[in-house]
Amino acid sequence: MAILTLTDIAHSYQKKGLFQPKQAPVLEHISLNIPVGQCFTLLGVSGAGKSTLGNIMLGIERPTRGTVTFLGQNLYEAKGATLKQLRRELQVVFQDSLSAVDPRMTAEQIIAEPLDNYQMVAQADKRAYITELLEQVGLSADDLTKYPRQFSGGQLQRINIARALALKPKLIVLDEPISSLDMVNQRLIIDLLQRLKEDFQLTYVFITHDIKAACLLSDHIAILEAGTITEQYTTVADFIASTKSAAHHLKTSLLAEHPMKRTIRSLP
Amino acid sequence: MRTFIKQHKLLTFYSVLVLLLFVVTLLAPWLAPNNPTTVNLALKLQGPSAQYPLGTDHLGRCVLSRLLIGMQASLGSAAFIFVCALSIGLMAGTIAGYFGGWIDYVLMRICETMMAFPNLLLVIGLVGMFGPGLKQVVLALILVQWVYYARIFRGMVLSLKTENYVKVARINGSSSFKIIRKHIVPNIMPPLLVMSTLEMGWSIMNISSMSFLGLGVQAPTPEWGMMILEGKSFVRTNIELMLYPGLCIMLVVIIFNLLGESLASLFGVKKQALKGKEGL
Repeated sequence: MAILTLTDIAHSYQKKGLFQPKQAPVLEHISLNIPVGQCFTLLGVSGAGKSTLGNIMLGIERPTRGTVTFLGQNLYEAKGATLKQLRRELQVVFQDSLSAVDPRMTAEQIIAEPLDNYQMVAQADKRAYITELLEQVGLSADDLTKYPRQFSGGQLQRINIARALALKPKLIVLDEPISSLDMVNQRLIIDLLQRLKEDFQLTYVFITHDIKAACLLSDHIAILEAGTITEQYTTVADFIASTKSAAHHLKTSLLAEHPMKRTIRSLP
Repeated sequence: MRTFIKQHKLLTFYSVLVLLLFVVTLLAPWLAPNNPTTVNLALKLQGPSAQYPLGTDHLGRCVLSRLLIGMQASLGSAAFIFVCALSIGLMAGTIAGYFGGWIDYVLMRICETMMAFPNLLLVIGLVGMFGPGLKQVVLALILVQWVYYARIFRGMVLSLKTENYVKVARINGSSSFKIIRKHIVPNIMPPLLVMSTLEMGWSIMNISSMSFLGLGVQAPTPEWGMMILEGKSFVRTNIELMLYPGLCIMLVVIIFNLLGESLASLFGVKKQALKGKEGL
């Protein structure tokens, strides 16, 4: 069953011109079904339109054409209380962990914001609930009163994940959640996401350009190339085994930055 | 608190000075040794004495008392102008920047129209339209000044709007009003504080300029610009009549500017300190 469905999405940005404004197409003919309980990965190189598609799924950027159906409702036609209820089930973790938190708020205030919006927990139990969330993501009660600048990048990303979890959503869009982290933290966050997915029965949309990370976390891989979905794989094994052009191109072009074996020319 | 004062001695010093200015303004009626409007031609143009610490002017009025009471018109109106212009500018700028669309278009075209004229000319023109008087000058200055605040706040809101935490706040259910109140306004507070102190000096100068041109405060109410205007005729014999109010304007404007500068450096320093601590 699909939790989120994109139907024939097209999106373009207005290019400002003096005489004739031009439309710069970013996405074209995108139809996707995000199955419940899976990690759906959108894989593509920079500039392929991954984040734009992510924003469209999140309901914060109206597509030029097409519909987004979340939990059976059109996300861009829902208003007022309906929209608020839909938003509750759809949360996000952005790439840049530092810019995703208000520098003037403590960790507790940051995580409390969504809770206050929906009166999720009683005022008296709030601190306990937030502490529990922090512990879920590997932080502790000591971190409640700290400000963003006192955390490392990996810790901040954990706070962002805790905030996304606070409302117990059904779907989380992970927009390059590990790209600004070092190798060790990348692995730790991937493991954390994997564990949380099972504990909270979440569905992920994982947006990334990192093939290794995609292989670790994904159930379903879709390749986005120049604004269109070119290939889809329902298992990681299929993706790895594939020799089709897009997958192959991605694998070679992205992995080329980290050559696994070097051929050393023999001296004459 | 104590460590803050130790670390920012200059800032504390200037803040105390500004606070002192406002206290003196409020207490002026009790501090003034004489009635500032009592005319006594027998005692005109006298030098300093126990009764008149800074002497008397061409109508025998106490110069010190006039300076003290004159602060109310200058500093009081400047504070009033600042509060009004800032509130209007903050509201207009935030609404235009946050909601965009036609509201933004209309508000910004109004601002641009106002900004197309040189400031002082616009103020003179408006005062000419409303008629001379302190109230009219204050109104004209508010009308001229809010557009600058609006433009600046709009720019700040536009840049804050693209911050991810504003996007996240929208996604996790915060209303526009809550986002503006909790994320946008607190984050434009520091530059706002710096700007407001710098603009206070500008307002004081303008009120005095208008009075000097005879458009602002009307006689016999004392005001510094007005006192300079009256002293102008005696510049050859009693230059101190122009000197005292001139020095007062200068000092007050300098104090406000110095406070603005030290606030700017305080927030600037803080920003750099943040950059060092990120450790990303």
